[in-house]
Amino acid sequence: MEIVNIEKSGTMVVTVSGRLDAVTAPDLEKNLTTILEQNHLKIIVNMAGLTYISSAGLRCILSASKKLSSKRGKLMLTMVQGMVKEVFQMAGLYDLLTVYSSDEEALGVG
Amino acid sequence: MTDSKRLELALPATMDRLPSFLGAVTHLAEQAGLDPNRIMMIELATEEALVNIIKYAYPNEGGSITLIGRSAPSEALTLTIIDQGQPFDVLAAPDPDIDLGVDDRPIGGLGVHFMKKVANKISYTRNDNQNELLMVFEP
Repeated sequence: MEIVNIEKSGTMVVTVSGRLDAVTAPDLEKNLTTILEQNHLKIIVNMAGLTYISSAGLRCILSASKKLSSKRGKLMLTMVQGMVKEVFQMAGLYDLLTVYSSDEEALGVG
Repeated sequence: MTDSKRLELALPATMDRLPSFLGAVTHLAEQAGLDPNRIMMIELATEEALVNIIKYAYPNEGGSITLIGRSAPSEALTLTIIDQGQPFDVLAAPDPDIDLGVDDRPIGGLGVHFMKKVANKISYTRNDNQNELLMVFEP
């Protein structure tokens, strides 16, 4: 898994690619925790290059989303597709999380 | 049944061995000619089963996991996962309430939900101090 953080107009855009599984999820968790500690209130997680996700990956997204909303912040997901989208749907999370088709769209609303 | 394939892999029950287990299952499913999307879902169910064993059957002490797989073109792929850890019936865990909102959602419980969703048949037995989990995946 590869993680790239880029700040765009006050929003932290985290682009993850590869596999988000029980082996790699702790890396994303650490990365998101650091961003939360820096008091960023808007985070976009771009999943365009993500090919696989398991419950360990969902947990780390869900946990960051909860922490942000308790600080009145917002976690947004972009480019959720393929197997990853199917897993979010199986978990009943796809319609609950804020999902946009592109970073630009999310930045516009966020 | 000339094209049937069998896989048997025994490795330490640690997270760093997950890629080896999952790679072997993916290869077995590919040999059976399964659809790539179905293969990813089988991989998902397998990961969740293995992670549960590593966390709950071997919470303190290490141990090993044996994975036995069978596949044949147009037939169901079966996986049997055996460990010698503490008795752990993953199927006894309650289903998560997937209708809850994001903020009310407990963090956890989704792995078992995925296993049940993806496998067409799933069963647990405790035999001779071993946990045995069987998952059957139709093509």
